[in-house]
Amino acid sequence: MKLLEVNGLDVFYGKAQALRGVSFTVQEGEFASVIGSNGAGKTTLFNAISGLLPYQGEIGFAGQKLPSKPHEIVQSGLIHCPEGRSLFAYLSVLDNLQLGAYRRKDREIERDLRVVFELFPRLEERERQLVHTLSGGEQQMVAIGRALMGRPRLLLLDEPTLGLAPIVRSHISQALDAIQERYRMTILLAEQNADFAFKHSKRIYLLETGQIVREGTAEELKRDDYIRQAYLGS
Amino acid sequence: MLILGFLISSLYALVAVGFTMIFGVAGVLNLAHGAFVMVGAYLAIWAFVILKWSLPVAFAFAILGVAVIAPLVYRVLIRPIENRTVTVFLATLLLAVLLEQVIILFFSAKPRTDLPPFIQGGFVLWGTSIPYNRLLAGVVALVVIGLLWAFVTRTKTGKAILALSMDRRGAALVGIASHRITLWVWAISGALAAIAGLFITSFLGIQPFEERVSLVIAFSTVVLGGLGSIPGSLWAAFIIGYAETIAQAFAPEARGLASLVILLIVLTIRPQGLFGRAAT
Repeated sequence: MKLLEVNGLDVFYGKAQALRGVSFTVQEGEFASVIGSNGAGKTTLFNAISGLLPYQGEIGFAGQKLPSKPHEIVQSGLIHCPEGRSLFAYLSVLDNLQLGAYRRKDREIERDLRVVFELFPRLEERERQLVHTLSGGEQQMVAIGRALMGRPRLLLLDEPTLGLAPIVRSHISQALDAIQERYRMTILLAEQNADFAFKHSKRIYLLETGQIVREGTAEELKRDDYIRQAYLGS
Repeated sequence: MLILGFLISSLYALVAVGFTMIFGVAGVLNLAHGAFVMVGAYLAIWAFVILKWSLPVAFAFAILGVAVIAPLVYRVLIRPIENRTVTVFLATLLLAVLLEQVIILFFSAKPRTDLPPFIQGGFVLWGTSIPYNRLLAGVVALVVIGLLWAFVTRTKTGKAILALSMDRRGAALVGIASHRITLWVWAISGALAAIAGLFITSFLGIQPFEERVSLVIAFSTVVLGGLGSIPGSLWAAFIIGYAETIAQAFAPEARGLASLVILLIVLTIRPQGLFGRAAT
């Protein structure tokens, strides 16, 4: 089943067009990635989907038109873990995680907090600490944890390993595997690091200067000459 | 004198905290904040002197009145232009002047001293006579600030307010409806301003231009403490309150000057204010 369906998306910054007719789909339960270099439009795409930027075109989510306001989009189960993290720097780790469940009224919030602490035991050790005192890797864990606390049907993950040390990157990588395997969560990842994206995803979209120029399964695109030379460096 | 300084400071803290909350959450330097203080006082005078309501009812009416007017101002005046910082700045300035003129129209520009103290009498402590009313003002201000602190650090809506002041995008992405929370913040800010206005008026009387004094106090307190920092505003309120009380004892005409001198000194040494986070 199609969970996310983006159709003919155009986004403008003033007169400059950042996205041109972007169309793609994400299947329920799938791990998909949008790859592309810096400035290709990945973050713009995610910001448009989560209601932070105005756009033209259509976005369908779980068979319905996606609402337009960010808080309604969160309510419908589409959660965006943004590039740069946007954490609440002077609140504790625990407060940040609990605010991730701001829209929820169900009784499983505590249980999901346990899940986040199992994925990232470091966060439980530091739950009282203010977020701005954490290392970059730990902050990224809070950002992912906060997004998971929203209980996403679709998780948009924007550059989760940007600027992190290799050891932290592999830790985040393992956590993503665990999330996918255990919870069969649908994830859409935006990555500059194509190797990282290929390692995790089944389906890949390549974005260049605001347009999708290649799409296919990871297996297919691994054999694509252009992608191999320009993005995979092998 | 120490005690009087403490009591007046706690009222400044009320004015300043409301001002800093609006700046922190909505990014608006609300130049009409002093006018909110004044409107609170005049609403109480209207209800008590003209409508002849009882004093507690008049006080409650004034606080609720400003707590309704302030979010209305946000909804009608500020929200349509909220992304244009300079326009918002001018709009709040014009609103301040407009409210001043409206008050002059209804009440004339003459000082009013007919809002009586909430409780009469007083006592003498270490040679200083302390009216009960001032003591009450100090206690009310501290209790209100304590409640506000508990509200923002312990409740879900309060944490949403803090979150919004720290990262607007992050707040949107966890599903905080910023416009609704901002309405709350204006209402709280208005209520705090009105409470301060009631007590200040009951000791000192009020006239329409007084709002400028409140605004200057709010502004210097908030800048001294560090824009957007609530603990900073509290400390700064006490520093300024004491400076004014001490200045008044030695040279009454220099009362307003004391806070400005402190402000100048601190800003020269530490431009981000006492508790401000240096811009990154």
